[in-house]
Amino acid sequence: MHVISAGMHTTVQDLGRAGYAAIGVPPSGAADPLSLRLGNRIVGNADNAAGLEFTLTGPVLRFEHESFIAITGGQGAEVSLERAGERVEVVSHRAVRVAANDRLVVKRVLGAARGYLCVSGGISVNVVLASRSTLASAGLGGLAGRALQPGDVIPVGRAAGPTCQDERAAAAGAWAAHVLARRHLRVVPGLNADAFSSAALRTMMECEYTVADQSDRRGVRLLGPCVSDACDGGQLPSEGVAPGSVQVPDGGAPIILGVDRPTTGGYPVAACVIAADMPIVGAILPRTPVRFELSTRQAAREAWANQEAQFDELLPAPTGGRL
Amino acid sequence: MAPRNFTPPQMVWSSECSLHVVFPPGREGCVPSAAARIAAGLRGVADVVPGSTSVQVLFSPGFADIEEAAQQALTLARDAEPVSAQQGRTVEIPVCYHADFAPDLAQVAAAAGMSMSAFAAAHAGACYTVRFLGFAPGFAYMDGLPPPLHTPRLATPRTRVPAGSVAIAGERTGIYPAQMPGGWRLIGATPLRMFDASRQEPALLKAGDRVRFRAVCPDEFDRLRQQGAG
Repeated sequence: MHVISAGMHTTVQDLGRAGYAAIGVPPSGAADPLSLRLGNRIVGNADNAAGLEFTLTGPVLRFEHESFIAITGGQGAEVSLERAGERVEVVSHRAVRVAANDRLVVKRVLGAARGYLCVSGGISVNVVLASRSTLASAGLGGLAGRALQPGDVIPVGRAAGPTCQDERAAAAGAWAAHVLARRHLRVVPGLNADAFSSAALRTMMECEYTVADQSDRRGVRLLGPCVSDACDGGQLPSEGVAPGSVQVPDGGAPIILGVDRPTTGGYPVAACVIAADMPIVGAILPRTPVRFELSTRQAAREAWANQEAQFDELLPAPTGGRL
Repeated sequence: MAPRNFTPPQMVWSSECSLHVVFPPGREGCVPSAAARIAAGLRGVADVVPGSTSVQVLFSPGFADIEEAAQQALTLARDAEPVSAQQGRTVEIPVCYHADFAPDLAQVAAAAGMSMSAFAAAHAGACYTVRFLGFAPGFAYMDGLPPPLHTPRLATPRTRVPAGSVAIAGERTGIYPAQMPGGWRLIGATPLRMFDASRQEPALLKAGDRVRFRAVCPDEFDRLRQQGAG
């Protein structure tokens, strides 16, 4: 695939790298892993195949070989395909055949901050520390460790399973859009929940917050009532931080830590968004109102298992998954 | 086995699939060995992350036996002992404290009432322990900075700190593994590559390592850097 224009911030991502946090390397990977996996399943890839993650606006690409692609994320994206002077709209959440020299124009993702383009065979950049994901802050992984630029050539693998039928893909797409539209983020108590007053925690759990424009793959910043009284505003010793940690720095404005978060942090962590709702954190648009909803460890694990079972029933991962 | 008269570490859940084994004050030195024991002895673990006073254990969300594995992690941590001076590696890191490599040295030395060379000698003369890595790939937080050298972070962080910068903040010293923004005070630089994803061991330092700095002149810095590049 040739990059003609890159979009706002487009990177190669798979499901991230585990096992390197002890040396300071965050997991990275798709901020909304549900949508990446959906796209991979539609084009017949294993869940962990690398795709392109785009932010608000997408890339313009020219294809070198025939392949199948799928566009996922949010409520889908505005995408068109140009072939021999003709222009056709591309429907999201289904397998679309592209031919050599086709131009794909990914205009913008709808109802979410991030969209995904998966291609049959997966993007085959080199594996760095057990993943193809880009960690742009450290220049690691992906294509040259950075976001795409015009002129880049993205290597694509050739092997792929059969693509899935349109009806199944559409049903799974509608289900994923429904999951991502949830605005109540379920949380369990965080590492330093005890360091907050019950009044501060009540404020956080009962008030509405708005996603700030300054949010990125490191964290989603929230605007709203301050969560005060944490450890007298002081810093705690730095400890490992879980994905989804709701960290409260000095100013009292919470930050939900994302996939590119530093592996350790010293600000008090009041709560943690449950794994089942982390795709929402990766997808959510700035200026969206959100609320927290208290859950338990047991309920959180059940929510994950149920979500996975629903996904697998609608659209199972290809058997004998490649890559 | 560790003596049993110590207060044992406590387990704190940090999410439904993450927990911290927290060591009480005075027992933080057990963190690196506890992390190593848990990483080696527990299956189903996605990441084991040493911190200042705790070991974080992260599981994949779909892992079935998290509650049971959590108890095993706590058991493994209970028998951990602090890394003693005889155990573990000692890594020697060449550092050039020449003013060209040390934009903050004059200021921190003046604040400490020391000459630049005395400050540099005090930094190079101490023995450090890597407590944990974090902030950025390969960034090691080291204890052992002599108290006269303790200094607050910059009020406004630099937008660009050069790779290899040797820095101090609070009671710690560290080395920036790559060019990045940062608020620690820069008192020298090393020609070594602190992090390289293509190496078998990408990070030069790991939790529990002992570190000694060796002062080198600018000429030796250049020579070592060229050797490292070749």
